[in-house]
Amino acid sequence: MSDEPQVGKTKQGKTVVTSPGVSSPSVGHTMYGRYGTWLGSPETRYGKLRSARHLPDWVKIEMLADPVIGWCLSFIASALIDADRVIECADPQKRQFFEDMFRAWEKDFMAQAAMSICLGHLGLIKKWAFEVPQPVESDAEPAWPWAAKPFVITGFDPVYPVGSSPRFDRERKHFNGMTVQSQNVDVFYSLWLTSGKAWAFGDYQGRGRLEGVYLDWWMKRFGRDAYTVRMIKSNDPAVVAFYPPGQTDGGKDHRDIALELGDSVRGLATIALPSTVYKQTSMTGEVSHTSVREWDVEYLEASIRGPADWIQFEGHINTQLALGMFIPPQAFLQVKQPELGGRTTADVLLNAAIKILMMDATGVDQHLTLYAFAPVDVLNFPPDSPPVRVRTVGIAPDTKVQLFELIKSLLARPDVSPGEVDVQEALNRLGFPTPDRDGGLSGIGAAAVGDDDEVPDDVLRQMLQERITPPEPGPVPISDKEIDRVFRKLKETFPELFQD
Amino acid sequence: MLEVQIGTEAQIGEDFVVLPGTVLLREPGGGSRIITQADLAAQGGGIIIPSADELAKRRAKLDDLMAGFNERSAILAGKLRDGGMGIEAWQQAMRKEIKDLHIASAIVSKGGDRSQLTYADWGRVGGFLTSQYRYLYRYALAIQDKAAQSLATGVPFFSEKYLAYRSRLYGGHAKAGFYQGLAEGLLPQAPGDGNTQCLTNCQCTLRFEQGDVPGVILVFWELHPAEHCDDCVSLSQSWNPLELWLPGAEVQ
Repeated sequence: MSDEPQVGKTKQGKTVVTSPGVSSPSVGHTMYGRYGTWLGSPETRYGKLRSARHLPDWVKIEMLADPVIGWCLSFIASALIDADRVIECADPQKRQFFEDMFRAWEKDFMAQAAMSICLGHLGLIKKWAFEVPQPVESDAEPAWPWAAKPFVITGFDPVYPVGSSPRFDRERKHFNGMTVQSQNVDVFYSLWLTSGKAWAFGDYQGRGRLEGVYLDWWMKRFGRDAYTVRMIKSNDPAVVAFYPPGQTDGGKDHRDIALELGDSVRGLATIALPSTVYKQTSMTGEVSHTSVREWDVEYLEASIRGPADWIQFEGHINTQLALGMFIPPQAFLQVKQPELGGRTTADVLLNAAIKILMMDATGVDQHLTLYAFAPVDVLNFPPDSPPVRVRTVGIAPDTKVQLFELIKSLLARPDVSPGEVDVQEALNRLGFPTPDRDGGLSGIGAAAVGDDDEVPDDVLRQMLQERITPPEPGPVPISDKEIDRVFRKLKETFPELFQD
Repeated sequence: MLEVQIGTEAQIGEDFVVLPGTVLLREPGGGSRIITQADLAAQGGGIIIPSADELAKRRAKLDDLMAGFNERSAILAGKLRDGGMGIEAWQQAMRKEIKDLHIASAIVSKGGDRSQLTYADWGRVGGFLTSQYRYLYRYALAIQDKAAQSLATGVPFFSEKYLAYRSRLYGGHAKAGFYQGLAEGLLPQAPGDGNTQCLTNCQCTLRFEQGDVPGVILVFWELHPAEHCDDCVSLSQSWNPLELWLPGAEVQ
């Protein structure tokens, strides 16, 4: 069978495409050999690298657990919640009615909608009730003067994305509701939010922002595993056991003995190499052995020096994740300052980020207008009454300032790759609490670099070359001698303390 | 160990009434009396509360010790930055400073009375030092990382101010050691032990009072003029007071 997909026609005239059978090697925990014991199965933790366009929902949910992504999601959610929205309708009373209904759950709904912007889609269940929407301003009268109670939406419940999908008729023209965990939810109660549908070529699964950062996220997870293995190997380096080929008188292979020997001096893998015995012939033709070792063990020193390279790598990935969540990577890559005629990269990217946020907000507005407001309108108002819609008119000024600061911080200098920017520093500048790696405070971030003289490179190199001794486990011993010394010193410093 | 019994019926003493369930101290000559804090302290199971003045004096000494530590650690940070001292030598010197400070803090907490310090006290100090040494080691690694970053990308190295500030954090824990020393290690947490958002920067203090029930110490978490973290503000409300039940004081 060819490796190429086969296309043909059946007798009934249907087009058939067959794809070649594919077998892939196992990528389970065995890829890390013995170290898999600690790492578990990467495949179940974050999965094989796959197409960003077809990510399973469980992977997306796993991505949300990443602190940088989670933080960006919160920022997007707060931007959506704080955005300025208006209800538009030619009939003031009807407008006020929808205003009262909408404002009651606006913030909750926007927090849920933010999730759809990240995932690409989210199913929501409408909560209906017979009740009169109460005005946002407590002293105002309800905009519903009639005796019969209106049937309105009082909020939404999100459904768990895994196992949820929209249902359509056979021609995929009419939305029939949702399937949630194998149960059907009627269209009347269903609201399927799709974000970035146009970018997904009309797919109702949408195109979430997580897709843009999937590769970086996967690399971060994979890199962590690789780093863990390096760390373990560094802590428990491989052993080489040398042995002379051959067997003992009892028939036991020297190689087996060498492996046992190696294993006895360490915990994990051992390498056994035959230690060939060299011979040399003198000028007189006499054959003699060289001083080659026959039996020996030695540790292989790992080349790993410290976590610096890993921290640098993860910092780069984190920056990519944050930028990718706010601005599509494509847009970012196409922005170069010299082409911008004086405007900074941060300015351009800020505008891009705001426009994209507005596009997402518009998408949410459309869903609300068509699938939440419209049914309420039909149920409670006459057919000839003026239509009503919700429209986002702008991003809150605070959000703009924060977003600008954030992007500026992420970029640091327009001519520097974002990979060299410290996300932690960016968060510090925005006033977010970010504990240092060893538990220090973030408030001193600004003082971390000052106007002091530069440290010469040779001093820095010297620092890097030194090996720092880690502390011994267990309580630090305190000798009587040390106590005596401190006691004497205390007596000299505070004589009044010891008067009695 | 104290020889105690649990009162089974109401007993009337000269100036007190013992209710059933109260822990009583059996006296050598027969009879029993209500247990006091002094009884517990005499057996090593209690806490001797210094007077408010005495506590203030000891705290002032601790502050002096910490100020000295801050000065010396700042000098060490400067030496590290200008290349006068290698990073390993700096770490060892910092360890010595941290150790000396914690030992001194333990002695000061007992008012300079060395005989009050038991093996348990030194064991506790040793435990504190372990955690501080570990933090210090990670700090040293972070300095190396920063050096690598500076060499690779040209970003400025840590400023002297920053290095000195960070070094101070490792001495801040001595305050927790001081209070735990006073309370025989029975406190669930103490200012400066790193369990609050302000970590070892904590500016709070503790005040101790004898509770109405023998063997129960009242501990007050007190704020002082400073920028307090939420944890400390919360503790100042919940430890107002905290009832610290000493071993053997399981009275009703």
